[in-house]
Amino acid sequence: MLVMNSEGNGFKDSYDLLIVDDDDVIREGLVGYLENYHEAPYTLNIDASDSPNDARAKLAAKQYDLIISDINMPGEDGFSLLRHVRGVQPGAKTALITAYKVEDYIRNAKQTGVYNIIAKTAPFNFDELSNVVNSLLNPQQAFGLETYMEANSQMQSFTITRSDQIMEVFNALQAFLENCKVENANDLLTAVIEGVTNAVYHVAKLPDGSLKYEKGQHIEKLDENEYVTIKFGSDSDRLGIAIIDQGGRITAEEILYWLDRNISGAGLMDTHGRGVYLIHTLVDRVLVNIAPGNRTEIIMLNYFTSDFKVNKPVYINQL
Amino acid sequence: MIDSRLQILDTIVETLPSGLVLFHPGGEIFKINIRAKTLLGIPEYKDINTFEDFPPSLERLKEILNNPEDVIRSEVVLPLSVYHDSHKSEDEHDSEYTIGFSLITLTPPDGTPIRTFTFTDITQILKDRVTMDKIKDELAQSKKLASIGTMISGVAHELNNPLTGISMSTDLARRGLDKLKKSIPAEDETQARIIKVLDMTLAEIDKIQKASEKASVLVGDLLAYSRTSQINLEPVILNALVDETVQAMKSHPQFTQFAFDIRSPDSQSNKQYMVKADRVKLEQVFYNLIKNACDATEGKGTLEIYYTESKGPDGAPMVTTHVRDNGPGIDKTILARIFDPFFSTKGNKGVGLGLSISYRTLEQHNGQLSVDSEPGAWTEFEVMLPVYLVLGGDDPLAVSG
Repeated sequence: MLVMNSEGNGFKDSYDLLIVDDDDVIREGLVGYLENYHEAPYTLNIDASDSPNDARAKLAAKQYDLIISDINMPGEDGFSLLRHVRGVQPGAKTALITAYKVEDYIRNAKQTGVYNIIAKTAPFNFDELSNVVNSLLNPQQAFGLETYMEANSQMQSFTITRSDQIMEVFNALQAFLENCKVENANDLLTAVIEGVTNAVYHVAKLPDGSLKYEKGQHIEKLDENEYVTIKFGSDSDRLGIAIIDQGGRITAEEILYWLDRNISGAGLMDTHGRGVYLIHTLVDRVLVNIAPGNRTEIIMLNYFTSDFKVNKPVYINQL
Repeated sequence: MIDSRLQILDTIVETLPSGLVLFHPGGEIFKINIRAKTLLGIPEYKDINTFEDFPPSLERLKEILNNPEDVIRSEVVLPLSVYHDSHKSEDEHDSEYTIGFSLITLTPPDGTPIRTFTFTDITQILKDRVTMDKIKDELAQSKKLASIGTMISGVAHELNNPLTGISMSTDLARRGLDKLKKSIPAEDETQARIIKVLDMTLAEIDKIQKASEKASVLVGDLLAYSRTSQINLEPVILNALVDETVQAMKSHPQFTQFAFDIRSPDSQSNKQYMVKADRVKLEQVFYNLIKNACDATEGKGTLEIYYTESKGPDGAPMVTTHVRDNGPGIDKTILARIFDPFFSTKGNKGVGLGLSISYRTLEQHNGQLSVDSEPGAWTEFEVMLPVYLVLGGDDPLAVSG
């Protein structure tokens, strides 16, 4: 059971949800879980549609807080439906869900303004569904590694105030991973190093917008607002690692752009923009939380089972 | 008049692009052209009047020339002699060559039979034929893989939907029964019986879940197989990548009794091969091959890894990583199908996609995965990749951008 940031923080009392999927078992499974097992400090009123047509009728009759739609449906697809939502209910939050390769849909999702794509997998990860619903209804709720770990998980936390501490964190993480007997420890280390060096060297900018530090250069002392925090820990199901910078410069659109560019192969010769893609490739789950101008949080989750390695979802939350 | 005609004929015979030997059935040679001497490795100045004048290395040829049949068309492999300069330059390792010939007995009206032996060097033609056959095979293989890939991708995605459904429903059923179980206090016999039935039902649900997860692993393999466009090439030090993969695998309990014999390209000069590769995918290829080697020897064999250099069809420098195990080897009939999707000799252990995925990965790298085996002795997989850059080493193979 996963914990909340703080009890009921910032949630309304109830939300109206619309779930659209032509597959009966999956639609009923999503509704069944959210109605009966999704533990939250609010109530959910859930409507379900088995077709985009029916969804359009429901959208005409009622205001929703969140619409989760399948992508491939007979007639109209999920992108088209969610573009329609944008027009008729601009305040509603949206997410897509698909049994197909999530990575194939990133470009379309960006164009539609959807930043969360849930992957249909067997086993299905209901914990993640709970998280994504919470985060969409209340984006503040998406922040904090603790949100994604079991209650009372042990966490280590490091603050990088000068460049040579990157190596210290690396060593601590390596020791931690060895202790956990993780199979893909090297992948995780690569992902973390990529994320941390980006956070240290690519976030701080000069007034003219150029990079303040050169990648790899020795930095004796970072400014206080350039400190980077790294947290990691584990529970019975997964490892969690968070990298937090105080820039909040990257945008959801940018992330989707770089992901798509690297997935399609177009980014082969790019000099940057590989960070998130690399992490996406190497780690089971990557969640990016952005508080513009204030904070970027990259959360990596890696499960101890190999159940969640195939079709990876995309989770980005921007305040 | 007759003399000058004979002279013209003689000139024509001398300048023929084929070798020609005219002789009487007894073995008396009355004409051998220059081309024949060149092809047979006989110095031009040497007089050849009988078969006995042939160098001893042409023993096989003498047998053929003594064959009394009227018409023979065939080919024969002969050892190269020091006078075969042209062959030497092409391939130093060749010690023999093949000639195609026709041996025909002509009986003129006056009754004395003449035998004509006409021949050409067909070594290169044979080699080309083998290469062509190989190219054809490879083409057929990749076409087959591509069409199967498209089909598999569709099927896999269609399977993913119902599997997700099964998984969701069993998960929810378990949650429901768990909740119910917790609400029953087990104070009397009836309640105890209900709890027992609930436990049995939960166990059944677990079985459904496990079965669907198995199916979902298969779907995952299929999806990985159908993934075509996602390749991210970057400069990678090949031998370092191999070393890292081996290091990572060594620590796994499965490999504790497995011996690794890894040779660096050239430890003296610290030679390194840089290739353009998708690091993750290439690691998977080596992981796969090493794991196969381990499985084949039941974890108790020896794995040898070494590197060789060669030239690709277009003359580009290539590096081949040889991954060789001393397992039971692979039968020829199996060898031919080893890169086919779904072909597996491991029974339940794998669905047989590993090698065909590796094969496709190498294709995507403009390289090649091939296999050779000696049943009862060894199996060797060869990972051939275009060289991007050679670092260190005394004799740089190529430096290209």
